[in-house]
Amino acid sequence: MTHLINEEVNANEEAFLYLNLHPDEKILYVVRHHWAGFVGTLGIVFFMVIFPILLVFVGNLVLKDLLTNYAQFLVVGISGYYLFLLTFLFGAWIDYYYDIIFITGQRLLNVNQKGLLSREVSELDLRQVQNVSAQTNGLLQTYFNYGILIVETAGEGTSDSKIKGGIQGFFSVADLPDPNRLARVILELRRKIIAEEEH
Amino acid sequence: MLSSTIAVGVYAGFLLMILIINLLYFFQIFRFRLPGDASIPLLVIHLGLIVTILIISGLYLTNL
Repeated sequence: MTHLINEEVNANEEAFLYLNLHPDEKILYVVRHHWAGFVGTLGIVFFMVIFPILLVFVGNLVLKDLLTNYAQFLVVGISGYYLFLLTFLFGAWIDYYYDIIFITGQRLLNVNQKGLLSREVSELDLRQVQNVSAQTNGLLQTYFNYGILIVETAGEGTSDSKIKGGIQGFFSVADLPDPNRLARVILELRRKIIAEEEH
Repeated sequence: MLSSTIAVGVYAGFLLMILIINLLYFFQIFRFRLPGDASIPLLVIHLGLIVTILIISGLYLTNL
């Protein structure tokens, strides 16, 4: 699974301190959203990029004198527009890229970046897992093999999607790569924990 | 004259806002990035594009 970073993750590094891991707890997998989940935002930004170019092109044909007289305002306006667009795109990327799932030997931690300065960390004890399922909907998700991971739990539910809200007993995360394999990894870890407790 | 002064003031305020937001992005990335992730290269590309836009628009305005 190339999207899973599972080699030599040093949980004592400063970047992981906010997770408040237990002393003997190790991070086994770090999972980010699939890149295809960001394609919609990129599509919108693409149309926003070409819009002023088209506007200037058409304006140059129809109102050439007006554009020449107000050229400095046009340059300031268009550069401001692109600066705003770049800032918006980078903010959207941070929102997407900093949603991370950490699977440790004991817990599943879902870090949900909400806007610029807000983030939510929800955790699920793997012993509480009752069932894990994966959903892939539509052409894009089927082709690129990403989708929603739904973990049924004995505890409170959570979700990073406004559309597919977290309901009691369900822990769902959208746009995860290879959700079926991820589901199997979680179930295997749960089985291992329970087997260790029984011995 | 007055209208162009107002326009410059508005643009300066806008640039300040963009600068503050990007400083917040800086903070966010250096606080929460994971070792070896794509944050720093993307941040460099983002800042490069912003500086390019500022330089190109500055050159256009000085040549007008």
